[in-house]
Amino acid sequence: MIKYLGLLIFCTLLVSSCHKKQNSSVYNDLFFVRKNGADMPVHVSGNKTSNTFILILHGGPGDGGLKYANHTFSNLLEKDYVLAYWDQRHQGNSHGHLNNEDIRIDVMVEDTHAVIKSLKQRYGENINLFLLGHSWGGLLGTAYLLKNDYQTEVNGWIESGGAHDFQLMNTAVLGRLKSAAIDELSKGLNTEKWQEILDYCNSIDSSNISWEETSTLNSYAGQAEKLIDLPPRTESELSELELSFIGANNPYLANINKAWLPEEFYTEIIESSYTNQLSKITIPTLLLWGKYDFKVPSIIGEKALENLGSEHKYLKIYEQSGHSSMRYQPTDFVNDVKSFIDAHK
Amino acid sequence: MKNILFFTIALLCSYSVFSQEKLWSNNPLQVSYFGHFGLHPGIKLGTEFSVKNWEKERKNDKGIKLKQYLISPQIGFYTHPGNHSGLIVQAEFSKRTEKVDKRFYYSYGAGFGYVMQINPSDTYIFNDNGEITEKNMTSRSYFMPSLHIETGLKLNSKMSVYNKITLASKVKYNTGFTLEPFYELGIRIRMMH
Repeated sequence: MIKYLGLLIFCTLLVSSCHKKQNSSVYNDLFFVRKNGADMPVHVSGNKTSNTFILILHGGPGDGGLKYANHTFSNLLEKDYVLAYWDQRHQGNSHGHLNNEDIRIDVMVEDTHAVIKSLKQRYGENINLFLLGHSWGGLLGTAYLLKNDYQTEVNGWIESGGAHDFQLMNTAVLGRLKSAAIDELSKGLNTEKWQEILDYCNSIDSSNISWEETSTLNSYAGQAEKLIDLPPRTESELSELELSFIGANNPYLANINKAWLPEEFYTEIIESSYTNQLSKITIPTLLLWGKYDFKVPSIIGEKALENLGSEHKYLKIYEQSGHSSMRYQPTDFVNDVKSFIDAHK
Repeated sequence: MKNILFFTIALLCSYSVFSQEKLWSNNPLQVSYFGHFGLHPGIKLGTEFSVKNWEKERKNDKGIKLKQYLISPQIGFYTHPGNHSGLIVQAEFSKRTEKVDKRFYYSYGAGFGYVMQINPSDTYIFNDNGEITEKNMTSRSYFMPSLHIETGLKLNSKMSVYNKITLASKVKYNTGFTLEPFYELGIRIRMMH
């Protein structure tokens, strides 16, 4: 009996050791960062010979790093660079023992610093390192670059649909939704839904938008993106079902983590406004926005371009994209990122 | 370190319990496939102690039902590749019902224990001064209450097979708790009769 039990345990351990060998041509690695009560996984994948790393700051808050893996854009980028998919504290598959006060922007800024330090300790101080922040990740990345001299740790900053100014953003979302609703209603397209969106926007006091209203606006912004006739987004090469059971990610636990994020954290987010401080950021910066991004309208990117202190700063607005331009126009997105990185690494 | 010490002591205690010949003469050994979310593979070992047995006559003279209250200490291990491994030490309390003239039985109950969630790679640990230390296979422990339901089939007087669904929770996981299903397909063997 003991012999069979030993065999079963051996088989179980063998299965667990197989995950890193999915594609022998791509380097795969996994490590964890433990800080202030949180254990945060960092999945690393790509072309290690490039010595160039892109740390993905995921959106949400509440998405995970692996939500960006296995997509057309990330698979293309992994051919030339190494992508680091980090699950921020209390998000994705991060775990630990936390209190509500441990979930704050500044704590996550320090986590970002810890992840960068860990990447350099693991792969060498001389690696080229770029930050790529999407949506909420754009806010986190901006906050990171503005603190201390942290921006000297990275070669460049790539922000895609970044929500680094919630106060400006809410007003912009209202304006963008209203103009799109009026435009679409005049064409007679999806009139019932657009009228509902327009009525809701008209009912809001734009000088005092609450978190609940921000949340509803975000939901309408997502619906508006689907009402516009955009090209289909590229989906993950693995289905959600496959990702749930055979992949390293556990989307179910990620959703539970998201549901438990404290209200105080969201309050802190909607009070964030970094546009006036962007002149302090002097590293090369690439801003990538979708023309039909109703969640974080492109005006946020345009204002950022005006205010950034960087000598090398660029803004690209994709004509056929919504909030996640990397999934609407992955080839264009990757070409722009590659041009930027190759010029500034 | 505290976690590892706790689980080592728990494992040693379990081993000493499992090693007793007297135990085997009265109590069965349970071995099962133990799947976190069904498909993250693992193995579970356990035994069970009957706390109370009684018989109950079924309505309309359909025979007799045997009922039992059971306590079952268990050790489980599973792995979610690329995510984490879990080592579980727990005790379950069940009520089992079987009809004397049938081979099927069912049981349900609740359990509690601890799960050690193991990070399957290196961990960079930052202290308050920003100093880094690197460790392999770090872990965190969570309290784990659970509910379960089981159906089984008696193959003969010494052996039965069972399948079981457990809904467990890790507490306090981040700032809240999780709900995680487990599926078991196992065999229960009574070494002596």
